[in-house]
Parts: sequence; C-alpha cells; structure tokens
Amino acid sequence: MISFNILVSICLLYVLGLFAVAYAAERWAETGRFAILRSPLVYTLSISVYCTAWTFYGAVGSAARNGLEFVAIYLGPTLVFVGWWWLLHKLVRIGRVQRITSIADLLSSRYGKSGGLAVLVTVLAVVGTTPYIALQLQSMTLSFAVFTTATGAPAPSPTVTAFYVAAGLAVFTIIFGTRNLDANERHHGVVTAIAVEAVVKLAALLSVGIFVVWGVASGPADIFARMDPELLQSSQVFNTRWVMLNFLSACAIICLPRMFQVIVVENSNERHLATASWAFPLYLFLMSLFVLPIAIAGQSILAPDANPDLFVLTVPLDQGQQTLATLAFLGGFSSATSMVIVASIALSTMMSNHIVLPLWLRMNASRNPASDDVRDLLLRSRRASIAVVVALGYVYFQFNGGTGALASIGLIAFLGVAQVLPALLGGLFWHSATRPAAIASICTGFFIWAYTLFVPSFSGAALMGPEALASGPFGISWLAPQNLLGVGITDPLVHAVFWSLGLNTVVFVVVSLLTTPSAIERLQSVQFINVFGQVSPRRGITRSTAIEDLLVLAQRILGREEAMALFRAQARHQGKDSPLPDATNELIATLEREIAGSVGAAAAHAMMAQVTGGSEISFEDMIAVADETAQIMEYSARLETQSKELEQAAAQLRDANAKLTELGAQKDTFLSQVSHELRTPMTSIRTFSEILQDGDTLAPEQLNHFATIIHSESIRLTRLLDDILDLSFMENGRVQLNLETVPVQSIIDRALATTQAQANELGAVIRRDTTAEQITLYTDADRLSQVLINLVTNALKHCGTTPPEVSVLSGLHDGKLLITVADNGRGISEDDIDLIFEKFSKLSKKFTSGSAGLGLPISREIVKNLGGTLVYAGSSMGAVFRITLPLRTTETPESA
Amino acid sequence: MPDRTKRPTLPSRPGRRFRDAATLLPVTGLLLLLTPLMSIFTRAQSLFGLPVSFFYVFSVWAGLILLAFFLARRALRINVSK
Repeated sequence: MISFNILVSICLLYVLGLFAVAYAAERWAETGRFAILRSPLVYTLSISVYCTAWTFYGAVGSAARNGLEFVAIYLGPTLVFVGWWWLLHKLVRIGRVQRITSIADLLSSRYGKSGGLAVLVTVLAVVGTTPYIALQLQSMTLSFAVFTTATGAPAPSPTVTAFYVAAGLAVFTIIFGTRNLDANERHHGVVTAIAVEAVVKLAALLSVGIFVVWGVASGPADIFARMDPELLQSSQVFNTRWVMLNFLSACAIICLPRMFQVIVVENSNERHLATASWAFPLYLFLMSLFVLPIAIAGQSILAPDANPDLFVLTVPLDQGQQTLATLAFLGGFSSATSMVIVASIALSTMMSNHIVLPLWLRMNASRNPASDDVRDLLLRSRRASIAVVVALGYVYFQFNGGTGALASIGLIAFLGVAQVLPALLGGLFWHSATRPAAIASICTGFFIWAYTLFVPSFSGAALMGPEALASGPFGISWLAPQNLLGVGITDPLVHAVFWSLGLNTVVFVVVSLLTTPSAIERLQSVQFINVFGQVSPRRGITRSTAIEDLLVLAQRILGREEAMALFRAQARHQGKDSPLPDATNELIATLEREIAGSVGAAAAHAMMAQVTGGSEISFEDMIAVADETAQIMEYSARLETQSKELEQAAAQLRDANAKLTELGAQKDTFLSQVSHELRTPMTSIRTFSEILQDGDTLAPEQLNHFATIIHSESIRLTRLLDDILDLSFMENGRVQLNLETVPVQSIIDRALATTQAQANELGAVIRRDTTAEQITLYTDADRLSQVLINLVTNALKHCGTTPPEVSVLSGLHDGKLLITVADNGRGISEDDIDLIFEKFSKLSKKFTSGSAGLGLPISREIVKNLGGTLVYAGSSMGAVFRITLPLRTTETPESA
Repeated sequence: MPDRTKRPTLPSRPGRRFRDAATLLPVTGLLLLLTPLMSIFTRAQSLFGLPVSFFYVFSVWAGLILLAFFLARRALRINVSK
C-alpha cells in the first residue's frame, strides 16, 4: 500500500514537473519558438480543461446512479463544437478583433463598453464558479482520503488537506498566471501545462477503463452482462432532463469563464478552431467511453455502500493495482488542478479589470491615470484576486460540508453562468439588444437561479430551512423555491432551468424592445454582428490630446518597450520622421483597442476618456459617421453615372462602326458599278480603233461610220465622267450654286425647250398650267432646269404608252414651291421603288436608254443642295415625282 | 481591374457547399440525440452484447466526430476563415 507521504511526494513531483513544463514554455515563447506551443493540438488539449474532477470521478458516480445521463454533459459541447460554424467561429473572430479579455469584457464591450454590466457579469461568474472550485477541492480531499483509509496511516483531516491543496494551487496560478501583463492576455506557460495535464488525465482514465474491461472482466460483452438491468432500463435515456442537461452543458462550454478563456482568449489562430471542432469531441468521446464499464465494475465487485464517485480509484485498489490506482489519482489531481488554475486566472482577469481598476480610476479621478503605474496595480490586483477566488472555493467547500454528489454541484455552477447566454447570443445576432435589457435579464436569471437552485444547495444550512424549502418562505406555497407557482416540475434542475432561463430570455427581449440603444451601443453592435463583413476601424472620438499624455498612459499599461514600438509604428504609418505620431482619431482608437487587450474594453474606454477629455460619442461623431456613409453613397452614384456614360459611348461607337462598314460596302459597290459603266464605251472605242488601225481595206463610208461611233462613245464616256464628278461634288456639298431670282415659268420653259425634240419625235403631249407658274424663286435656275429635264426625259422614255402624256404642274404649298412631274404610264413597280434613286440602277432591261442610271440620283442631290426634297409620290395615275423647294435657297446647304 | 477586397463577393461553390454542410451537421446531431427520434432507435434491448442505448449514443457520437473531421479538413483546404 502506498502511504500518504509517498502520495504527497508524488503530487509534489508532479507539480514540479508542471512547473518545469510551464517555465520551458514561457522561455520558448519569449525566444519565439511558437511552433509547438501554438499548434492546434495544444489548443485542443487546453480546451479539455472542460473535463474537471467532476468528469474524472463524478461521471462514473453519475453513471452508477442514472445510467447514460452523464453522456449529456459531453454531448452538448460536442454539438457546439461540430457546429462551430454557427457560433464559436464568430465568437473567436470577435475576441480577436476587439481584443476581448473575458466573457464579462465581451458583454460590456458589446453593450456600449458598460462598466456596470462588466461588474455584474464578474460577480455572477465568481458566484457561479465558487461551487465549481469547491467541487475540485472536494474531489481531491476525497481521493486523498481513499488512500489514507486504505492504509490506515495517520493523515490530516479533509479540512487541512483541502487547505494545503488550495494554497498550493493559488501559488502555482499566481506564479504562471500573472507573470506578465500580455497585450493579448495569453498565457503560454499555463496553457502548455494544461495540455500536459489533459494528456495525463486521458491516459489515466483510459488505463483504468481498459483494465476494467479486459482485466476485471473478459471483454465488453462480459462487463455489460454484469450490469444491473435496472441501470439502463429504469431511466429511459431520452426525457426532459436529458434534453435540459444537453442544453445546459452546451451553454456552459460557451459561458463558463474558464472555457471562454481557453477557447476565445487563448486562441492564437482561427484555423485551430477547425481542428478542435472534431478533436475536442473526440477527446470527450474517449473520456466517456469507459465511464459506464467502470461504474458497472464498481457496482458488481465493491461493497454496496461504496461511494460511486470514487470508483475510478477504488476499483483498481480493490484489485490490488497500486500503480494503476496512483495513475488514476494523478489523473484526478490533474483534472482538478487544471480547472482551478484556468478558472482563477479567468476570474482574476475579470476582477482586476472590471472591479479593481474602475474603483481605482474613480478614486483617482482628479489625477491623470498615467501618473501611477497601472501595470503594477493590475498585476498586484490579479494576484490578490486569484487568492480570493481560490479562498472562496475553499470557504464554500467548508460551508457545504462536502455534501452532495459531485455532479449536482457541477450542474449548479453550469446553470449559474448560463444566465449570460441570452445577453450573449442577443449581442452577437440582434441589433436591437440593449444594455438595460442585458442587465435586467442577467439580474433576473441570477436571482431566480440563486433562489431555486443555489440557496437550496446549502441543505440544512441557516440560509433556508428544510420547511421553507418544502412549503415556501413564510408558508407561501407558490413561492416554494423548487415549485414556483406550483408548476409541478419534479426535477429541481429542470425546474430551475425552466424558470431562470425562461424569464431571463423574456425579460431580455421585452426590455430590448422597450429601450433604445445608445450611440456607442449601435456602433459596437455593428462591429460585433457584422464582424465577418468589411471591418473598418471604428472612428475615434474627436478630441484634442497631447500625444505625450497618451504615450505615458500606454507605457504604464503596455510596458515601456511595447508602447514605444507601437508609437513608432504609428508614426511610420502616418509618414512622420519623429518617433511620436500625431494624436489622430485613428491612433486613439488603435491605442484604446491595444489597452483593452490588457484591461478590458470598459476600463480602457474610461482611461482614454480621462486622458483625452471626452467620454461620450458626440453629435459630431455621429455626423461624421453619417458623412462617411453619404460619401460612400455619392461615390457609388458617381460610379453608376460613369458606367452609364461608358455604355452610351460604346453604343455610339458601335453605331459609327456599323455606318462605316456600310459606307465601305457602298463604296465598293459604287466602284465596281462605275468600272462596269466605263468599260462598255471603252470596249467599243477600243474595238473600233483596232479595226481602224488595220483598216486599209475599209471603204471610206465605213471609216467615217466607225469614227462617228468612236466619237459618240467618247462623248458618252465624257458625259458619264462628268455626271460622276458632279454627283460626287454634290454628295460632298461642294457644289457651287449660282443663286438668282427667277420666275418658275422661265425654268420650266427652258426645260421643256430642251426636251421638245424628243417629245416631238415620240408625239408626246406636254401639259402645263402657266397661270400657276407666276411664282418667283431665288435659286440656281440652271440646276433646277437640269432636274426638270431629267424628270421629263425619264417620263417620256419610260412611260410606255403611245402617245405619252406628261404633265408638269407647279403651285405653292405651305409656303413652299411644289412641282409635280407625272406621266400616264404604268408607273414603277413596288419592288423597284426603293431602287430608283440608287446610282446605276436600271430598272428595266427592255429600255436601252443611253443613260447610265445616274439621272435620278443626280436630280435628288441637286434638289437637296437647293434645300428641298425630291420624292417619288406614287404610281396611281402613272409615275409621279414631286419636288418641294423653299422659295429662297440659302447659301449653306445642309450637307456643308 | 476591380478591387476584389472592397467588394462583397458571393462565396465560391466549394465555400457554399462547405457552409451548408457545416450548418447542417449540428442540426443532424440535434435531431438524432435530442428528439424523441432517439426512443425509436433504442427500443431493442441489446446489440452485439451491448445495451442498445449505449451502442446508439456512442455510434451517433462517433459519426458526428467523423463528419466533423472531414468538414474541418475541407475548411482548412478552402481556407474559409480568411
């Protein structure tokens, strides 16, 4: 049998080993060898601080009493971790961005950096954690007692044992938890030691489990065959209590101060969370795998009155496995110590940041906070806080007399800290959540929790007698702590969860809806809820501040070197040569965040306010924020306009391109048509000149005939070229007009005189109304008569009837001269109407006129140059062309 | 080139699928472990010599861990934290 003294020596050696690990880790961290310390493995193992002595000893006890119920305590956290994407991811990101130091800091920061809320949460956390620490002390004294009773050796009383354990833990925590005031509030040494302890406790529990299943029994089937059939049958696994326990443990993994410390504050890399999302549930899985077998073994081989909470120790001892029992003892010791260490660090941070520092600031309100060494104060107050927290646990242990099963004490603590959950979730997801609502809801939940669960846990104590517990204080039955309003929930825990969290949530929602968030709460709510969006540094508050004051303050809190480095970096950022930057809003905001990393948001805000002389967000600040929004909107509107303009420009370019392509195609067509037209006369000229060259044998009449043909073809060629030249000039608007005042009659006279010969030849009838021609016109008479000649010639030629009748009528219409040239022929077929004004278009192959098809295009261009229009007006009575001309042609034609 | 960091962009396809899976996993666990569904699966008394409720709870648990493991690997690969 191992004597008590050997056991104590083993414990001391183990603690010394932890010291060595923590010390080495601190040294590694200082020399920058982070690789091992900052791995996801260490992070995951440090989260396993969730598994306390309650898990190690109490889970087996719970399994022996209630079967599978103990699993609920691990399934809740498992669901939270596999669902890390829902909540933990956001929580960790906010913790990093806002430099959150504790859960009280998180809530106070979210709800407008409220000092009062931070104090409230701190008190709640201390009260909620105290039973938990007592639980650890109780399990350690119990485990010591197991060995001492087994050996019968003289040993100190449980009170003394607990005192030494508590004192030892406080010393260890003070040494490694408050060695430095890290800017990010991270403790490499402690976290590494916790990771080592996690391995020890897992190894210990697995060893005992394996021994029980394959050493005591002969395999899983055998061990379950020994099970008392009542154990799993009597309690249907699924019931209200099962759901409540899962829910409570899920709350606890988020809200417990020590869990928040290791998950959020000590997190150095968000990616570690992804690994922990499966590794931590796996750890829990392994921890609980052998719990039921150990419980069954204990029940089957030990005396019926043996304490099931100690089966982990007593089963190996009963089987004579000294070493295994010692390992199990060390596992329980690890579980208890790691919990107390982390919990007291987390609570001491909260107490010093949210209670001691604000009090000190208030007492020294008249003085500049930079005039004393705040760092020293913080470290001293943290050390004192750790001692206070551990002492409180010790007092509770003494007061509660070590009664009550381990599991029920743990659940009391769970429900206590779970009261912050509505305010926490509301703060992370609901913009309308307000500070009064958070305070009211936490107070409500806290009070009901204390009344229905915490106070009754001091069974038989002076606070509330058993008769008051049963029938309500002063005999008021509907106020009975474990049966409020007579709802008839038999399980006290389910009853307390229902009333405390239910009313808590109702109060939170109702008060939030009744109150309006302040300006700073609105700003913070955006920062928290949209943490994955575009995070812009919060605008600082416009104040005039001496940069020296800020530097002194920063040096006091961050330390001389760090503060100087920060200021130099800021100065470089501002592009200044001197080591001191300007006290811009950005600098003040950055500095406040950095300081918040050490002392919490509320205290940092208060200190900065004292130095910079302004604490509230002013109207101007809100205007500035609004301005920023307005600027963004204006910018986006400008972008929109620009993009519209670009679109328009692109459309215009496309149009221009299409037009150019079309023009290019027209030009090609035109050139090929011109060449074709030129070729015909050229061919005949060439042929006849060749005949003339070797034409010695030709008769003189023939020679004369051929020369005449050549001559007439040349004339035709010349005319064609003239026409093309003319057309091209007119199309470009470069034609020279000889403007004069002439009567319309004379123009028509001239045109008809020219066509007289042709008309006589065809026996045509020309009709006109000379009385209507008494109009004077200011125009180019030559050009206009050319148009008329063209039209009349066309009418004579293409009319198709014999004898042709052509009428040339003129008149005034709408202040303009209207000349109509009509014939009595078939008119122009529908298909050809579009073509008649095209160059070189010959509608009918039957008519071999000498023209090249340029007459109408030229006419149209002339009329256009004179400022009028020439249109084909229809085929109803034969072809009708209509010229509309202004009475006065101006010098600037439209195409100029 | 538009500045991608300034513009909210839709998550890429693998990112969306990861999000859906990550959102659904705890809901699945919730349904299997915290609703009366559990009573349906634990009606029988024993399986492979183990009590069936014990077997059921630990199997679902192990399944959740396995799925979370694959999800976490995916999360690290597509770098969703950034």
